[in-house]
Amino acid sequence: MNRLRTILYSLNDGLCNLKHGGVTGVVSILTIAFSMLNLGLFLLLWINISPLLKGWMEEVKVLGYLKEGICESRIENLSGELAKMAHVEKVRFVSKSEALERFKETLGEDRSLLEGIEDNPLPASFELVMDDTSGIDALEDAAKRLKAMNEFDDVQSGREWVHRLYAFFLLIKIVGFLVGGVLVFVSIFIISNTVRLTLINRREEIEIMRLVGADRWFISVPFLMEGIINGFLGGAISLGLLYLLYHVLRCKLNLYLLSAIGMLRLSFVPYSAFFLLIVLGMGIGGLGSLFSLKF
Amino acid sequence: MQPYFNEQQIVQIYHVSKRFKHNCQALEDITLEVEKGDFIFITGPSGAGKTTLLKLLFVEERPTSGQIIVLGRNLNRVRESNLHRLRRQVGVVFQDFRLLKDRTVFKNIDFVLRLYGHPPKVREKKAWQILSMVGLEKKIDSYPLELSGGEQQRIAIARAIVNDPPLILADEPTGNLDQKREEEIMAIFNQINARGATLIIATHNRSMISRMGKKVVSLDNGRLVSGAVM
Repeated sequence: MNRLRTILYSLNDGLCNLKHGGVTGVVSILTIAFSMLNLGLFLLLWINISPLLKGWMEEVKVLGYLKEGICESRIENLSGELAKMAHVEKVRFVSKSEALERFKETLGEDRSLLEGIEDNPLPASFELVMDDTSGIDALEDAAKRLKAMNEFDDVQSGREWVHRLYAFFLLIKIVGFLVGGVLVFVSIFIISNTVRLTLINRREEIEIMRLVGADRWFISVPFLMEGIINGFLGGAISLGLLYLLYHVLRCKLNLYLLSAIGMLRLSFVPYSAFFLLIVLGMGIGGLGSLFSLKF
Repeated sequence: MQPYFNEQQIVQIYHVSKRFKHNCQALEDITLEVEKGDFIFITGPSGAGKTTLLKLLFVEERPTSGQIIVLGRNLNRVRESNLHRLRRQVGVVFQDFRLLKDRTVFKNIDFVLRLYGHPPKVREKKAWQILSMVGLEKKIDSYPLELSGGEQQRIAIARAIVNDPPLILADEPTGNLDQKREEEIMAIFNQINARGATLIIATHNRSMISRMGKKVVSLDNGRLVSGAVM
C-alpha cells in the first residue's frame, strides 16, 4: 500500500518535474516522438505495401510448356500429380487454343498480325500458383520437378522476379529495423542525459531528502515517472503526427497513381499500433531514466 | 574493547575521532553515552566539533576511528542502502535549515510525512498541527525564501519533530531567533522531551543553557572537556 502511494505521489512529482524540465524535457519528448514516428511510418508503409506485395507474389507462377502430342488422359494424370506437389495451391491447364486467345488479347489492336498464321505455334502449358507459405526454394523445387518430367519442353519459374521481390522485402525490413534501432538508442541516451542533468540540478534537494530518511525508491521513482510520462507524451505526439501525415498523403496522392500500382486506398495503422507506439515510448522513457539512476 | 548495546542508552559513542582531509582533526577520542529521555546541550566555541559530532550521529559523516551506537544500531555496520531506516527515527534540525526552496512550507513538511505513507488527510492535519505549534500556520503556502531566517528555522524544527522521532538532534536551533521565540521553541522541545523523546542540542548560547538547567557536554578543539558520561 505504501509503495502504491509512493507511486501515485511520484506520478504527481514526475508531472511537476516535467513542468520544470524546460528545454531538456522538450528535447527528450520530441526525440521519443521522432523515434516513434519513424516506427509508425514503417508500420504504415508495411500495412499498405504488404497486401500489394502479396498480390504481386500471387502473380508468380511456375509455367511448364508441354511437348507436342501429349494425350488428354496423360494431361489429366499430370494435372493430378502437379496438384499434389508441396506448396502448390492451384494447377491450371492452358490448352493451345486458349494460349492463342490470350496472346491475341495481349496484342489487342495488333491481333491482325496473327491472321496469316494457319497452325497454332503456341504450346499447351500448366500454370502452377504457389501458396502463401512458399518461398524461393519451393518455387525452384517445383520448377526442377517439372523439368525432370519428359512431358515438358520448357519450364519458367520467374525466379529473377521473385528474387528481386524478396530482396525488396528484406531491404525494407533491414532499413526499418536499423533506423528504428538507432533512433530508440538515441532516445534512451537523450532521456538518460536529461534525467542526469535534472539530478545534477537537484543534487541539493536529493541530499536533503536522503538526510531526512528518504530511501532510493522514494527519490528515484519520481524521475522514473518523469521518463515514462515523457515517453507517453512522445508516443502520443508521434501518433498525432502520423495521422497528419497519413491525412496529407491520402489527400495528395493521385487516385490513378494508386490504382496503377494496384492499391485501391491508403489504410491507417490499426488500434493495436496506437498501443504499441505509446507503450514503446513509455518503455524508452523509463529505460532512459533507469540508466541515469544506475539501478 | 567491543562496545555492547545497552537498551537504556539511546546514543553510545566510544573513542570516536574524526579527521578531515588536509589533516584537520575535528574530534578526538570522544566517549559519551546518552540515556533515553535525556535532554543534553553540547556546547563549546566555534570550531569545537559540535556540528561534526551531530553529523556523525545521523551518518552525514563517518568516524575515522571509534564506534557509535544509535538506537541500538552500530553505525559502522549500517550500510548506505539501509541508512534511511535510521534517519527516519532521528529528527534533525540543520544549522543551515536545508529546506526545499522550490516547495511551499506545507510541502516541506508533507514530504517527510510521505516517507511514512500517511494518507493525505492525516498528512494535512499533522502538517497543520505542527506548523501551528511553531507559529507558522499562516505561512503554509509561502516558499522558504519568502520567510525570515527565524521562520525558516522554525520550519526546520517542525520538519524534524513532525513524525515524533525518538531522537532529535538540533544544531543551533535558536541561532536566528529573538529571546521570545527562543523560549517558545525551547518550550516545544521540553514538551517533546516530556513525551519521551531524547534531545541533543548543539549551541553556544550560554544564557539559554543556564536558563534551561539541563545536562551539558562541553567540547573544545575536538576534545570533550566536561560532561562525559563514563
